[in-house]
Formats: sequence, structure tokens, C-alpha cells
Amino acid sequence: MWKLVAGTGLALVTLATAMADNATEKPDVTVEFCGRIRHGVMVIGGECTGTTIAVNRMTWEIQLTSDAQQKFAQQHHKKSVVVTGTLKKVVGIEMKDRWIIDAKKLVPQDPEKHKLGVRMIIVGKLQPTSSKDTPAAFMTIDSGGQVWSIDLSANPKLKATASSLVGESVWVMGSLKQPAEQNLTQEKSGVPPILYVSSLKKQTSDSLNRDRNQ
Amino acid sequence: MTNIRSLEIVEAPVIQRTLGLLILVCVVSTLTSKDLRAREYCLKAKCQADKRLSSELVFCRQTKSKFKGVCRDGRAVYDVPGSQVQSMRSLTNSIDSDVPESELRSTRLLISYSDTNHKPSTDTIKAAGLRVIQDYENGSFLIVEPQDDLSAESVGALMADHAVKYVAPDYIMSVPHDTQAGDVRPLATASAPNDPMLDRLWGMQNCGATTVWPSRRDATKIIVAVIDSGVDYRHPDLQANMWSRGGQVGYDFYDEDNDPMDEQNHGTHVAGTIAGVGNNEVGVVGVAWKTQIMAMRFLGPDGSGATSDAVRCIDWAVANGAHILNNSWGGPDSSPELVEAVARAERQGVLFVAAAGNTGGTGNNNDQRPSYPSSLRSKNVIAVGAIDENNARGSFSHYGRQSVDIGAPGVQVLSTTRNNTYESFSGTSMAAPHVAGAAALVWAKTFQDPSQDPDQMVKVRDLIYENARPVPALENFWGHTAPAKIPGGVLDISFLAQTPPTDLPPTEIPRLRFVENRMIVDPARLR
Repeated sequence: MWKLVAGTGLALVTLATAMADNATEKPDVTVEFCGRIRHGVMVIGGECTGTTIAVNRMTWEIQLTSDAQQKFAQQHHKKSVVVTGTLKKVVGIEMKDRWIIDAKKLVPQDPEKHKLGVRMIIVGKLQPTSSKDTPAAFMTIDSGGQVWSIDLSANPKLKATASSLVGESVWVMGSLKQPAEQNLTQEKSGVPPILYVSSLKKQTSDSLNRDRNQ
Repeated sequence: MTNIRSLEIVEAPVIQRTLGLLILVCVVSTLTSKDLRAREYCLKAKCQADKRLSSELVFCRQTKSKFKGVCRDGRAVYDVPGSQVQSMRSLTNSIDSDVPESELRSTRLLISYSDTNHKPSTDTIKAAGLRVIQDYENGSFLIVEPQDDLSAESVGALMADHAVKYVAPDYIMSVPHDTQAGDVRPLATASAPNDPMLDRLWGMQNCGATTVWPSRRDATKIIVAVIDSGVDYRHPDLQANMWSRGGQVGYDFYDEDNDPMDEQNHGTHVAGTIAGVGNNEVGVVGVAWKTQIMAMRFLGPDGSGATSDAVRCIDWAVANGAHILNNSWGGPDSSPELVEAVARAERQGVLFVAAAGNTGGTGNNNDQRPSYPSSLRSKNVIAVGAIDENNARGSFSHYGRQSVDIGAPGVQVLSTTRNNTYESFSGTSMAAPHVAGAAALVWAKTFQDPSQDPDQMVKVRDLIYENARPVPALENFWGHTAPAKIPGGVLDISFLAQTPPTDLPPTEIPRLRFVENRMIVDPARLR
């Protein structure tokens, strides 16, 4: 009997561990996108949520999650708004990679509070870049398969901290920008822009919970 | 020395010489009598048709044989002289000397002439040993029957008369009884276009276009508007098929100008499937070899556009004479303006072909989560899902027993892309243009004066639905709600090769006969 209980317990522990591993595999990317919203958008093959937000040559889709959000999007069509939510990537069939924000909050832009642009918080594993051509201040962060290039040149301390945390789970915050040298063709091909990091720290389970609660 | 031998022969006794000669004649006669006698062969003529003769009659002429008719399976029967057997074998390797006696054969010929003032003369018909069954003026051809077997001389006599435009057997046509759902029919080689990428266009065979091409390939009076990202109207495989009015090939509502040049590739790809120029020795061929493509642009370089601009495209295309609108775009939200624009097109008698939509993974059930405009229930909307080469639903393809009407090729579809290039794309966007191109052929074949007319539109739509090929594996995916008639149906226009134009007056032509596929019949002359 005790063997059965122990076996079941072991199996449950293994399952829980596996689930926890899977959970960490999910992307953990939060965005605040301030740009012009378009509602009633049609795209090739119908591969769209029907609502997009765009700024500085970056256009992402918004997945509206309530009737109130639908109404807001209709009322603010072609106006500047701020959408906050989590970001996911969907592989398209006729469209290239689709970037979709699952909207949690939608508000009109207040020019005094919100600057046009994209701010992101990414939780993921820090990795050095593999390309020799990439500047030393560049690294990548892999968040459940979403790999973002990050630029740490804003602060020399950031680079030093990052170097010590390679291979570890970190929390980074910054502004997403389309690099000047990245042309329109690259944007269309789905190459993501670069996150210019303003803050970086090691991710612990405590800090993760604290951040999420905040 | 030669003189001495000749002398010796001359000096031989006369009786001996005669006897020797007789023996020689007997031996030669015995050895060759079998070969000298004409034999019947049943075969598929391999030689090329020329400008005025079908391949069967070219064969008859080249082998100096007697043409004894064509069988139901398309093979022709000839009496071939022994001296021509070698020549025969060089022209074809599909030879069967066991000619079935009881098989139904058509011995009649169809002789096409240029116009009613220049018909083949009575003397020509007489010299060719033919009897006129009917002068079918509406189609500018004679239906004739040989009084004896048709010989090479008979064919020669016909060719000598310049009023004879084209001669071919009056082929026997019947509904194929041995084809099953999912069968892909062989290419009609006699009328296969010379477009070099033809063998990669699996969709053309799957939807029956290759079967139809021998009898109907052009829809010159039909205008198909490609409402999309524009069209590269300079593409060598599209240029000749662009609709044009005063040099304008459509309109760009994305940039608000007269230049709907594609900056994305999508619209160009769609256009190539509808009507890539056929038989031009370049690239691909569309379902319709020749029809008029109207380029409408509202999707930008990123592949997206505003519903309001789509509405303006629809209205512009309808106002400028489009019969069919291809809509390989969509989204989850409709709007009253879009609904009304599609309804306006319906009232005008314009067919609205729409892609059902794509979602990576397992697709989406449009019955539960609609995708517009394909989910609009106007009478003119045909919602198209995508199938692959094995008649399976494309994994991404939206479906819906009530909201998707028909399937069409939409996986790995090769077509035109910008700047004289070609690419394979997958999506319901690729399936819809197969239907739009097919609708153009159906419309052209069914109506001599195609026009924006609700009755014509409904007829074309119903012919597409009624003749869809049922695929059991697709039954749960689409085609359950009227007017779509076939659950799990996929586009199949091969019926066009089997039916005469519906508005022809009753004639003496037997029901299962039709005008030979290479006859050039001026549609304007058909009532």
C-alpha cells in the first residue's frame, strides 16, 4: 500500500515539476504600447484580430477581450491610445509572424503622461549574441521562445550586470525601437525591433511574485 | 562483263524465264500479302493538330489511312495500309489492333467555317465524299457524315477549300461513370497550354480546369475584380489580361490614385491563379486563360487595409462593370457599410467570392466565430475553404458547415508574384481565386451576353455548387446550407467540358454530343 502511495506521490511531483517547467516556457512579455489604433482592419487571408496599433513603423494587433474594449476601439479609431497587456507571437499562414497584444487595459493617450512608443518588461533567460558583427552592448533575452535583441549601451553598469547574469533568468525593462539601420523590408519580414534596456535585475521567485503583484 | 551476263539472260529460253518470273511473283506475293492488306487499328493519335485539322485527321492524312470514327474513350479507328504501318508506329505508340466491333463510334465530322458568307462549297463536300447533316449557322459549322470511310484524299479535298476553317471528329461525350470523389483527371494533352510551370499547378487539374480547357479556356467578356493589395499589371503573365479603360487598369484606394500597383505580392498571386495568360510559353496559366482582371487596391505593403476602403473598392468595381469580385481578405469584424456594399453588389448581379480565412494550427469554425466578408449571407457570396493536393482540408483553413460553401485548391499554390517572379503560397486566399477563375469560365460558357444580372449571377453560382465534387472526408467542414448543395464539395468545373451552352436552341445534335473541343466558335454568334 505504502508503495502505491509513494509511487503516486512521485508521479505527482514529477508532473508538477513538468508543469512548472512548461509554465516557465511560456513567454512573459508585458507591453505598454502608445500609438494610433485602427479598428475594423481587414488583412490578407483574414489573419487578423481586426484591431491594430501602430507607431514608428511598428504595427501590432490588439486582441480585444471585452465588449467595452470593442466599443472603445470603435470610438477611438485612428486616434492615439495606450494599450497595456501581454504580448504573444502567432505564426501566420499568409501573413508573416503576427504580434498580438492581449489587451488588459485601453485608455486614450494623455500627451502629458504618455509618450508615443512601446515600453516592455520581459522576463527571460539572458544570452550573449552569437553574431560577431553585433556590438558588445547587445545581448538577447529568450522568453519562452520569443527572442528579443536588447541594447545595454545606455548604462555601462547594465552591461557589467548583464555579463554576470548570462544564462540566468532576468527581468528587463526598456523601450522598444526600430533601429535606424533596420529598413522597412526587414520590418515587414518580421524581424523584431530592439529593446533599449533601462533596467535589469536577476529574477528570483520572490521578485517575480512581487513584480506580478505590482 | 555486265554485257555478257545480260546476254546470257536474254538468251535463256522464254518459257524458263516466264516460269521463273511467275514463281518469284508468287513468293513475293505470299510473303507480303499480309502486310499489303490494310488493317484496322484503334489508337490515340499522337501527332500534333495543325491549324485547320484535328490530330486524328492529321494522322489520317499522314498515314494515308481511312478514318473509321472515334470511340467513346477518345481513341480513333483507322484502316491503315500495310505500307504505312511503320509511319503509323512513328506517330503513336498507343496502338491496339483488336478493334472492338460493338463499340459505339462517331464517324461524323464538324467543319468550322469563317462566316456565313464563306462556307465550304457543295463541290468540296461532294469531292470529300461527305453528306451534310446540318448547317449549324449559329456556331458557324457543318455537321457532316462520310458516305464511305474518310480517306486521306477526302481530308485533302477539304483542305483545298479555304472556307474550311477547322475540321475535327464530332467526339462522343458522356458523363464519366468511373471517376470517384477525389479522382484527378489526366491532363488533356491535345489542348494543354505550353506554359512551362503547368506541371506544378496541381490545382488546375484538381478543379477540373485542365479537363475544360480543350473546350473552354477563355472568358474574354468577363471582368474579374481582384480586390486586394493591387496587381503587378506589368507582369508578363498578366499584362495581356488586364482590364483597361482609358489606360486605367483599376483603382488604388490605399494611396488614392489611379495606379493600383501591388507592393505586397498577394494580389498579383491571386490574379495569376484567376487568369495567368495561357499558352504564352511563360510561367503559369490561370483557370481562365484569358479574362479581364481589374486591379483594386486597398491593402497596403503590410497586407492590411481599412474596411471603408474595401467598401469603396467593391462599389468602384461594380460601377465599372465587374462580374466577379475576388476577395482574399477578411477580418473578424463586419460593419453595416460592408454588409450593404456586398448587398449592393448582389442586387447588381455581381458574384462575390470570398476566402473563408486562415488560422494557424487547426483553423477556425466560422459558424462559431465568423470571419467577414465570407460569413456574410448575401446570395452572391461564395465562401471558399482550402484543400491540399490530397483533397484534405488545409490545416489552417477556416471551415463551417453553415458558413463555408465549398473547397478549392489552397495549399502550395504556385502563381505570379511581383517583378516577373513566381512563388508558392498557401491559404484560403489561394483557394478563392480558383473559384473566381472557374466562375469566369462558367459565366462565359453559360451566357453569350454576360452581364451584371442577378439571374445570371445566381445561375453561375448554382452551377458551381451543383457540380462540386463531394469528398467524404470534408463532409463535416462545409457545404451544408443552401444554396451550397454538396456537403464536403470541392470545386470541379469539368462539367463544362460535357455540356453545351444552356441557352442554345434545341438542335438535332444528340444530347451527349458536343462541339469538338478545338472548334473555334464565335460566342457572339450563339443565340
